[in-house]
Amino acid sequence: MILHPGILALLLGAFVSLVLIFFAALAGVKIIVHWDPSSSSAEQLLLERTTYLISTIVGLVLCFSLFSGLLFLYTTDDIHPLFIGAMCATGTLNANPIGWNVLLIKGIIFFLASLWVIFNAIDQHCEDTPLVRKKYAALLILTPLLAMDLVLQFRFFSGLHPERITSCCGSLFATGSGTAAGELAGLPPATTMVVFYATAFIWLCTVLFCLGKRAGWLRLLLFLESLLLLPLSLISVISFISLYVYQMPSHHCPFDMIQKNYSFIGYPLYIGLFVGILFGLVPGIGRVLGKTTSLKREIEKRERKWLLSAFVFFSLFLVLSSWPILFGKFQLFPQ
Amino acid sequence: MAGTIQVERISKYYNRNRPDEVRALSEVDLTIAAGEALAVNGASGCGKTTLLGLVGCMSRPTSGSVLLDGRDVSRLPERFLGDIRRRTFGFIFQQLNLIKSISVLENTLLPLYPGKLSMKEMKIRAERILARFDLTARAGVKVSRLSGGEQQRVAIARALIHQPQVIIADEPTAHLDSVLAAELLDILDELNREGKTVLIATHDPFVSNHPLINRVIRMRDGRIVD
Amino acid sequence: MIRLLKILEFALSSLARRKFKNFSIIVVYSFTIAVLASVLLLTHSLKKMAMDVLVDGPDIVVQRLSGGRHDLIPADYSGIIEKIPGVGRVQPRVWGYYYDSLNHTNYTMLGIDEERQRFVMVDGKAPADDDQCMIGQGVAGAQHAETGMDLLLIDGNGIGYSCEISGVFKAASDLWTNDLVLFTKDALRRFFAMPDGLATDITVEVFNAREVPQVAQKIKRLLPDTRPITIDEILHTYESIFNWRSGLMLTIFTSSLIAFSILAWDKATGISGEEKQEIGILKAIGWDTGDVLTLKLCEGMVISATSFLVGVSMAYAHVFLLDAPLFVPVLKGWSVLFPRFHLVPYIDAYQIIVLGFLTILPYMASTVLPSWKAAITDPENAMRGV
Repeated sequence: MILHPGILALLLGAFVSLVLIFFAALAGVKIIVHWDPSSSSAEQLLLERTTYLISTIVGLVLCFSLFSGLLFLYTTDDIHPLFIGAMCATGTLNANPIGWNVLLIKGIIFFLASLWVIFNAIDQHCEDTPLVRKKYAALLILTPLLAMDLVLQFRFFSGLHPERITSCCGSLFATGSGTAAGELAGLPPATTMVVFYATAFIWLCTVLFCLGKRAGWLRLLLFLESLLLLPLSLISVISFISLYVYQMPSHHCPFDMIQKNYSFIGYPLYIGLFVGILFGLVPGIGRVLGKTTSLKREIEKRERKWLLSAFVFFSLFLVLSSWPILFGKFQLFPQ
Repeated sequence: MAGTIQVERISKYYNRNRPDEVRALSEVDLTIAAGEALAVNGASGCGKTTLLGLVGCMSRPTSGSVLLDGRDVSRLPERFLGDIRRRTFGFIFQQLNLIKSISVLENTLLPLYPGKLSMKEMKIRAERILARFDLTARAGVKVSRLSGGEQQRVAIARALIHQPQVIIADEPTAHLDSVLAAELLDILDELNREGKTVLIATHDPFVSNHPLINRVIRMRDGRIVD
Repeated sequence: MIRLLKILEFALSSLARRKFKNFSIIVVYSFTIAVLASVLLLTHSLKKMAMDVLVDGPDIVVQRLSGGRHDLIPADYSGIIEKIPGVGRVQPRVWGYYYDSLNHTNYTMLGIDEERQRFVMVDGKAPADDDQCMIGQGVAGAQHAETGMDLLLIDGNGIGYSCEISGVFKAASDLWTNDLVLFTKDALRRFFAMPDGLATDITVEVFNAREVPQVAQKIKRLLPDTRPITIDEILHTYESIFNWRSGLMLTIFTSSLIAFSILAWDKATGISGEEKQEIGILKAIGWDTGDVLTLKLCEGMVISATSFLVGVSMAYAHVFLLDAPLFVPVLKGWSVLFPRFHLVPYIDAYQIIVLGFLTILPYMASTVLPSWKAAITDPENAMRGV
């Protein structure tokens, strides 16, 4: 176990979030069991008031999880000198591969918690709060995820052995290294580029169609496309976008770009990607959930904003990642 | 005109299904027309305050319904009631319920914080309403330094800043001398003339007999007796 | 958005009204933060300084091992190492420690030949012959010595030795020069009674950083009695030491923070009658539970942010302006490694986020429940004057 300030902070944060969400989930179970909008008993009133507590807690937990994702990357980057062979966050993550699962869990928590907050806000604008039971059932999924976040982070950090010689992005993302990441990096950039830009184009068109037409299947299509586009975008970052950002023909690391050397370009780039995809998912889910008139009305009020956000944020990602390809000095394909 | 209140067979129990259960209201029916001035009479503990609280969306009835301009608000989740309370009602309480440690202006502004008005618009409104009640000169003074009559006027100004349709006053004259009580009723009279519905709970005959009042109902043991 | 700003404004005025209570929370809170921040800033700064020194240093240091212990190394090993492809400058170093019993200080003595131009002179010049030496600014300060004076030392044979101070130099980091005394290599060999042809260790420069491990392996193979230490290994050791130290101290101080959170909880739960009445009034005149909850969270945020700013500023002053006097007892262990020095101010976003996580997060978490409890006051209570 490494006693590092960042690690202590991460574990403390994960622990506090878990305790909070655990209480929220307990209260949520009470609501699932006893919720009765037709009753005006003191118990129902207390349940209604409990919903405020739960909303606040999930909001806080989402906020914490955003910072903890950032802190996690920072920390893994900060401790890389402990591992011989590690040159950035990737090296630390490889020193104990559980780290990759931590990242995955953090990603899932970000998406679920954001969706929860979005739909909770909608539900609270409906007088009949139609999503009550579904919402608190969803909390029961979020809770074990946060528990896993804590456990995995603990296992990751306690399983880091500074003596271990690790491979870093140089070898992990090296083509022909035999790892899955190596395979990704080894994908022919030209093909990946075509597939990525084609999918992104179709996705953006779908967003525009959704803005113009009310058809439900378009939203569902957008949802599925978003699910596809997220991994595809991450693959593209590893496969070719990173090459152009770093202007090096074999540097595939997806984390280096959040560092100062690359003027923190990674932040707007990833924010654009994640927020864009998030709002690409929302309208589809809204169509599935929006069965009552009140919900439909509230969703329709917001849908335009979601679609526009999706479009703007993903375009930000596209522009930032395509800029060095179009205007950078570095050329992957000599003319 | 807005401000019609229909109360249909409402009952209110406290501590329901427990040994200390209290039935504060039982099966009360009442219709208050927009622009009416109604006094609810009765001894303390007869359910006046409970009735006013239910009408004013402070709490929800155990059974029955409350309709504001035809809309049933008795089953709304609490989070919607605050908004309705703000938009529809101005409350004048028996204890004035002013925050003593802040100024007259700040007290007047209190109901507007959760709303959409900007700070600037809020201040313009407050200044207008303070001028109406002769409080402009006292705007920056702490409420604890004011005389009883001035405090009374601040409470009214605060109740009116939202431009509510209905004024609800619970025993407003209980702590006032006869001069102040008369002054208060004159103000309420003026508001009523402007078209606002006025609902007063009182056991003070001076109030019930005031020319402002169109109708008096009497309550006993949680029921309307006449 | 407007609503939030307005409620924030109200929160500020409401905090200002309860000056005494909130001031005492802010004092305790910022003090806790200041302690935590001092530990972080101090260790980070030390680490940064050590790293800066090391990064400029050689890629590999070759020591000779004899019986598993560090021994003097034949200077002509450098000829063998130089022939390895990819290796740049190879230099035998002569250096050691000297304890000055008169002044109770430790010096690092280093022999230099051609690298003397690398030092920036404050005064005088580099030693011209074996009877001269030059000293770092720190030593000059401690000894009240200046150019032209004699430095009195006891040599390896126990005989008094005096040499003229030819100059005083400085370097980028205090860490490096504070205890440094420079001689010519021959003079230092004589002083330490070191046989000719031997050196303390050999430094190796490698052109391509990626080849360092391979070069180290080759040295080990060619010269089996040596131990090549790469810069990565040194960095790694430093990292471990610093992380461990600051981690340990943080663990201790985090427990004090948790104690503080309990206090905060207690303070927030014990909402005064006056405050409770105010919340009742707000609810009665149309604030709903969410509005009051926002108000309470805003108050918590303002208290956190204020305390955080005050605490971090206090820590900055404590560590970088006053050189961390409060931690001197705790840091005794370091004084073996580092003599007196001034810390280089160094603060970054990472430290701020770590601190925020360690301090603001537990505070906010511990105020959620009490805030909510206050916010659900029944509006009807205000009507009844309860």
